Amino acid sequence: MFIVAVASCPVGIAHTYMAAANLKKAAQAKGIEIKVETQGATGIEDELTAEDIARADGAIIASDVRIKNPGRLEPVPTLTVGVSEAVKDAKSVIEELVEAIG
Amino acid sequence: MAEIQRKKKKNVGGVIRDAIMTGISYMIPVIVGGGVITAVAKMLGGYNIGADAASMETLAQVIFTIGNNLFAFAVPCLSAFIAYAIADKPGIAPGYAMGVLAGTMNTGFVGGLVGALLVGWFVLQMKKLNVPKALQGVMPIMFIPVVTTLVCGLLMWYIIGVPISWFMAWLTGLLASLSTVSKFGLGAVIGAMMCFDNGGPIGKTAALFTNGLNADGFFIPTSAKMCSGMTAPLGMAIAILLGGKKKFSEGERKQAVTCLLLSCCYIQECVIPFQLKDPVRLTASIMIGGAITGGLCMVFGLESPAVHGGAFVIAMTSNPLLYIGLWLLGGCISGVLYAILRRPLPEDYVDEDMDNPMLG
Repeated sequence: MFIVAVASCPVGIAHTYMAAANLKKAAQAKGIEIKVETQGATGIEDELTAEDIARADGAIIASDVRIKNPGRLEPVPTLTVGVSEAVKDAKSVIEELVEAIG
Repeated sequence: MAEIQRKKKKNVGGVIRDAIMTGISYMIPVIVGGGVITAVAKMLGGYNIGADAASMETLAQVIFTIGNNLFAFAVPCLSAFIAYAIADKPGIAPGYAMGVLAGTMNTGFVGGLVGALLVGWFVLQMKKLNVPKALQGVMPIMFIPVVTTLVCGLLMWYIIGVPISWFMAWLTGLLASLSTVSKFGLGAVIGAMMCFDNGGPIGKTAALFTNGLNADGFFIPTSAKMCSGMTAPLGMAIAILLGGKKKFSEGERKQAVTCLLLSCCYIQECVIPFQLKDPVRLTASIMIGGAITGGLCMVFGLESPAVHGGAFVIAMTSNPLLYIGLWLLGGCISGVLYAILRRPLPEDYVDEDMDNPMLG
């Protein structure tokens, strides 16, 4: 299974990256391949490519703000959560997505 | 988008909150840049440089004007990107208009915020209109900006903006005439909120309030916000130092230096991993330290024109030594309290892998 995620928060220097790190950790613990794009204060990093999105089984948006280019994720089943949910309990977020996409 | 429905769906309040947070995220660099540059000019050319900066004769006056020009974009930027978050690109131009109008009407950030929400909603309605195919191309570049700006602008000027300008005049008067006790109370609430969730929604709400006042020229609550925010990670570092091996694991003690450094940068999130493990005791300790610092900042009338920057902008506050003193005071109170409250580690404690992404 391969999932993609976008993390973003209002200031964009801490929560964004903590959410990204925790999502990666939680996914790896379950043996799921994941790529996380961060939209922090410096702009977009680790940008999701068209190929990433094409082969993704599911997507997570962990953000308290409107993310850039949300339209890209159109074809992928997407779970939207607050950024602090991913910081505090990334495991449940991943589990919720996995359950929803089967 | 193939949206996965959650058990608890995002309601209108959630959408508005996300939109406001988006606006703030775009406004922060503007108020930090403008605030710091004008503060530098004040250091070079005296505290009242703003009065005669327009003559542009000295370097300080030029620097002040550059910074002040950027600062003037604060509310328009907030409005534009709130509207953008709700209605996408067509929201930006009318959003800017509402922000500038708020400046003209003296309704400050509240006026800009309300105007932006109105614009966002209005553009969404316009996008839903069924227009003939031939006109579809000109909708976003012609009709939406013209009609939205005009209709919402008139609404703001004649109807909605009026009570807001009364409210702002009331708030301005209130802040100027607060008694010492109410000053301490307000600062303490700001400080306690800042330390409650360390960069989470409660802290962001307090920051929204003080940053808004900062954009309107009130710099005292900003110091209450920033100084109290900086006490939380400092308190954590002090607690680790005092608690030592008995109370903190190897992995946790390694975090002390990170917390100290991040305290200087006014980044509180390094406290969260500790807070998740021991929420009640830690949150109570750091809220007390933060509240005392925040309250004292207000009582002493400490002004900070910069809303972000931590130790790097202390020199620009109205009284740097006092700022440092209050920062250390709050940190020590939080740290000592938590070092006392913290339970010793159990005998067979296995060090968890405490990955703090803030290190990297």
